[in-house]
Amino acid sequence: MSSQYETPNYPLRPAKRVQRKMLCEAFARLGQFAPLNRYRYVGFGAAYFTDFILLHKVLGVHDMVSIEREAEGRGRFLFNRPYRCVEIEFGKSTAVLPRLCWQKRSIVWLDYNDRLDDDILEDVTHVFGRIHDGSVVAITVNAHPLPWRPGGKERLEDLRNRVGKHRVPGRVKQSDLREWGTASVSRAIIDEEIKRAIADRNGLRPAGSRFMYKQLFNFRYADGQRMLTVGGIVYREDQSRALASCGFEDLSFVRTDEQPFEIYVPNLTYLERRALDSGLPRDGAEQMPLDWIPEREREAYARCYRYYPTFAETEL
Amino acid sequence: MATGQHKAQKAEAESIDARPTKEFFIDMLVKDIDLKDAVLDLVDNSVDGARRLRGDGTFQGLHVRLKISDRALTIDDNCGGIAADVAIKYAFRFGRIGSAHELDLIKSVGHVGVGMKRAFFKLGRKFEVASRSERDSFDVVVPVDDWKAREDDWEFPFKRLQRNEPLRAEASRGTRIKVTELRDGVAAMFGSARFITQLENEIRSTHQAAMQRGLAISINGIALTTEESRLLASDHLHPAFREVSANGVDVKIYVGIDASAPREAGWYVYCNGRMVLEADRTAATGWDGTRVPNYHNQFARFRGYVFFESDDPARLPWTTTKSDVDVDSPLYRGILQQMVNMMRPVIDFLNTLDKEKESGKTVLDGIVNESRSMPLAVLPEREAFGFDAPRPSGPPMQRISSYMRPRHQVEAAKRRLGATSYRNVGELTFDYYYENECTEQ
Repeated sequence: MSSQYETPNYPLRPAKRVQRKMLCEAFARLGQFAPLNRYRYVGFGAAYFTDFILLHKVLGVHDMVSIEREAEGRGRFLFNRPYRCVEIEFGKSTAVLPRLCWQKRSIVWLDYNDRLDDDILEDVTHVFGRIHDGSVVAITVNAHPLPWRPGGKERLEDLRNRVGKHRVPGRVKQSDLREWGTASVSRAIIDEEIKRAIADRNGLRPAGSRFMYKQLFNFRYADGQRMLTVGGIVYREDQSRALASCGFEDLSFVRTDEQPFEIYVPNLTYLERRALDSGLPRDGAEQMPLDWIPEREREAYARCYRYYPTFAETEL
Repeated sequence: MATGQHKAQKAEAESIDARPTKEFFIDMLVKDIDLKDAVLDLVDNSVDGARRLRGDGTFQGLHVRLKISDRALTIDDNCGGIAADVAIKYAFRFGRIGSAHELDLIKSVGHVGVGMKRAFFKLGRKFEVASRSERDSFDVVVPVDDWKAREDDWEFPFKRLQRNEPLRAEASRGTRIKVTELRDGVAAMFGSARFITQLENEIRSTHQAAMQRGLAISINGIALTTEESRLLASDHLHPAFREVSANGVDVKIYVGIDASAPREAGWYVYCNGRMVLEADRTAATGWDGTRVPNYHNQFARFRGYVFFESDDPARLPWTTTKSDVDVDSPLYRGILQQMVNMMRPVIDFLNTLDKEKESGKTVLDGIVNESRSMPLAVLPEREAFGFDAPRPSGPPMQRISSYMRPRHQVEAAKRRLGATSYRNVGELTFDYYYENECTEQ
């Protein structure tokens, strides 16, 4: 392992930035369902509102709701609100989501820092139970395994305590939760919750206009802590044409099953990037230049070069 | 089971005669029903009649009168009577033939087609039915023992039948049922005041919706009364009300709060006006400890109402006994999802209300106190339960700090501080510390 390229750069969170741009590119394809400026965005803006700024600038979304659970220091969040069209709803997401109106197509990004728990799953059920067709939902959770201890069972017990025993598949063992295992199991649990919510909801729908869910996102990245983002699109069965014309599958990072897309952002110098860029996108399996950089790093770069973040220090 | 009399008819003996004896048939039929439910089935038929007669209109002027003694049960109604064809094809048959629509059994609660007969057999050894409908009238009298003795004859003969009579005025249409020669045990129960009280309660809750529409039900001359379902509402407190239609069923869901009453808290689920779940706080209505927390007394104000209505009772999500919801039906699962997501804001509100008590705040308490109990019918549609909290005034955030110290020390501090109360002792000692240790940073 070549650690000089891997050192996580936590304050800048490059992988998270890459993911945000990828998600935005996917959201942009929803135009087959309705013009994007008519969508509503629901997210957790915190004090930075980075995703809100991106979606407003790039997609023109102007109905935006940020859910902020910190009740104290409201002033800070209101002060940092980037645009007049961003509304801030204070409260826990479990309390805020039910009071939002769901009659409108939405882009929802539930970007938690926490490990998966039953509050998060309640939000998932709620959103998928009410969201308009032609909407996209992404859920990000911390999937970092608890520290290992000899003979310990705490990874499994912690998961069971958080999500409830009945939600953890019986085949899952303590050893399945190491490294990216917690992410796999978390994805499976969220996926099950989504499917159940959709199935329950379809009890009220006539055949021909039932709701469907197609997974689009299964990201893994680690700017320090291992993180998982899972989600996809909700549409009606009579809309499969519109879905097909979105062409989500053409996007290199879209994943429709349990196989994840790993975002790994190698640390490269500006000159190295320029050199690699000049041979990208590749035409077939041709060799990339700069053979002192390990193959793995160059491959990783080729997967994310269009989204690679550029940092600069400036005098504002 | 031997059926000696029939064997001769099947001379070839290449098949086995498996027809049940009437004795066996009756025993099976009445085995699983309790006495109260048998009487309720008969009341259901009268309520069905009211629905057929008046549709969605008022039930004013219609009555169902029960007389119950240790000798007989009579039920007298003016709810339209039974048409001769319905009697022949449906009301007296065991099991239903053809579709309900064929017979225009609109919004009937009795879709299984055995209720009335089963009730008769459960109760007594003789029953009489006299009906006066729009253009027909008939009387049927069945001495059960005689009927049982005629193994091969499954008919109930009409004692009298008139078809195509001149149009009868609505007020004089109706059905009168009388069951006598009560079975063992039945007479004793019918003579018990306690049984009558239980029956009253059951009818009151089951047919609440019909009674609210004006149907007068009485037992032994005493009219049953019912209270209208209500929720607290005001300009600042808004119960949720959603209307959903799916697969020919119209569903209304109301969620909110009412008076704190641990026995009454929970969900009330009705199918075509009949209550199938009362004050339910089990997983059947979402209280499974995961989607919604387990029920706790701080939720004693919680009320939810769900009304399923359909022209075709077979589409309603109830079990065949009509006393429970079919939790696995797709319709019910879909509605349960909505119920659960409508509950959350109420649960949060009640949790906050509970916490207020500890902190001495009265914001939500004030909202509750100034709200009024409103009948469900006047509530506007609203996706989610909500309230308007007044803007917090004064210092935005406060914390309580309390402590215990030996009495003589507290008394000494109180004298020295000139404090007016123990609380004041706490405040002044805190201020003293803060002034000296925390003001320079």
